[in-house]
Amino acid sequence: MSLKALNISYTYQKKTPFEHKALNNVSVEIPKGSFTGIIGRTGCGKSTLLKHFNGLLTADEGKIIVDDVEADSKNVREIRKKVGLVFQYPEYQLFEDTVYRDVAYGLNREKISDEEKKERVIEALKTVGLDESYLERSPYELSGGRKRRVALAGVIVMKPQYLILDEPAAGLDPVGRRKIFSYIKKLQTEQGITIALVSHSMEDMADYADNLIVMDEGVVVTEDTPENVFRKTEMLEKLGLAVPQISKVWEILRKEFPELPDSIYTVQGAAEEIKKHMGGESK
Amino acid sequence: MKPAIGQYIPGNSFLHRTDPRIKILMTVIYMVAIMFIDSFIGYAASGAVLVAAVIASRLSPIYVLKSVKPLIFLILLTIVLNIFFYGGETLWAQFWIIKIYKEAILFSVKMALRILILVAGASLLTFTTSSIALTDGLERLMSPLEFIHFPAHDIAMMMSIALRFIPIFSDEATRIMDAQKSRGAEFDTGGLIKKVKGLVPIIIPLIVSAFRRAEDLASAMEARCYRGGKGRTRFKVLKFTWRDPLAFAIITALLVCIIVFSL
Repeated sequence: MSLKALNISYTYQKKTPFEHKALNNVSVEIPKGSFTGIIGRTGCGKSTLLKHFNGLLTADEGKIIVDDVEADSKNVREIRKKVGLVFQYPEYQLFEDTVYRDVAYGLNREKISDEEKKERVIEALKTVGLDESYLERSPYELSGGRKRRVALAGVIVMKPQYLILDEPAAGLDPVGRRKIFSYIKKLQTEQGITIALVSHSMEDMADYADNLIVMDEGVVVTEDTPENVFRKTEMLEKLGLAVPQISKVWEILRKEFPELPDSIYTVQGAAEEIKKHMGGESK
Repeated sequence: MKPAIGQYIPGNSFLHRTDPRIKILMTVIYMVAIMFIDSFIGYAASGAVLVAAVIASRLSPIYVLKSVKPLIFLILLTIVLNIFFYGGETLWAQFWIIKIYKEAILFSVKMALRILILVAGASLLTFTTSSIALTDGLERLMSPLEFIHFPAHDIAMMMSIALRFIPIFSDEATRIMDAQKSRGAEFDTGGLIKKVKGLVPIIIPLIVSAFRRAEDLASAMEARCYRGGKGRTRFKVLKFTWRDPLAFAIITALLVCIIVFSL
């Protein structure tokens, strides 16, 4: 049970002077229940790959397999129900006059009663930290971060088993970032939704992801745990990426104290190691 | 993003490097000439001019053919309507109350040719001229009208902004459609009313973003002290080269011949 891409290739604007090969024989697997991060510099094909998982783009070659079922043009509705996709700046897709109606938009095609619809909307809003008082408000009068959470709820309400997000925290302030990531993490830990997420923040990836896919120029460079990926500082820098800031600090510390363990990439992990090293007494 | 009809295709051919003012004038003259032509020899000759221009543009002829593709329905419709309703003298066929005359068929074929050549010619202009060059050329061509207080610069500026935003909005529309699709929307099913209603979730965010972009653009222009056309200088000044009088002379001579012979 997983979300799989097998030998996917995709070219934009085929047979024109603007032809651009975005994906070149890409094979990845997003294991069920994981929090998979996808990193790579701008234009490396991340967003193109995400669109394939949701049936918005059909690969020129290769196939997408969702829970052992191959995606094709016939089962695209089932696939979209299973795999929710949240675009970059999803708040720009809001259009209804109340939050309730906007979040419920995806449910309009489902044959469910009004009460059930309302329940699901309230539940979805709760998972992104918004209470019932927002139901009748206009999405356009909310703040940027809240708008984004409403848009997120509009996808969560469909109860996807896989949730794919393209830079969900782009353009938010640090508090907004942390909030949105904590809601997404909760979806994984409490509801068992598999998360696949694109982000340019290595710190966020270090804090939340348990599986990392590194892409460059339309190919997958590596797929591994964050520990193993962030150990390859040189490779990441060659790809226009970086290691989390704390890893750099840690390297400097290790020069002074070689007895410290290597591969620390979260602030929390670093704090614990330092505490241990100092005998666990300091505050 | 799909390549739009008439989208600029960068190149370095004779036609690409010809001054936009000349190209605009040539296109206008060409179109006017097509309207005068009324014989098959004339159409063949102007078709040959078009083929020569395509060769001079070094573009694949497929683009030019593609540019007339959306018009097939319109052309077929005019052919059918003309065949049925354009009278004549020589009766060729008759079914029930429908009479088909020789003149009607000839007339509708000419109409179809006229539309095809017109559109192909016009799209060749936009294929080989960037929108900046196009509006720049238009502004210069219209500038004599400023004597009678015609706002040539403002109109050119509005045009170039409008042209610039077409790909942006088509990208944005695709993005919003994708977003709504991935939360369960379907745009290609149901009856007409259902389909039109289905567009609301795309149109509203699109309008909202149009206003947002307009505001951003206005602030950006103000921040750079844009105050209209007066006293504005250019980084790239349009200059005539040897190509331009040559191109102009060739096309004018050809078209004069066409008109004279086909009248």
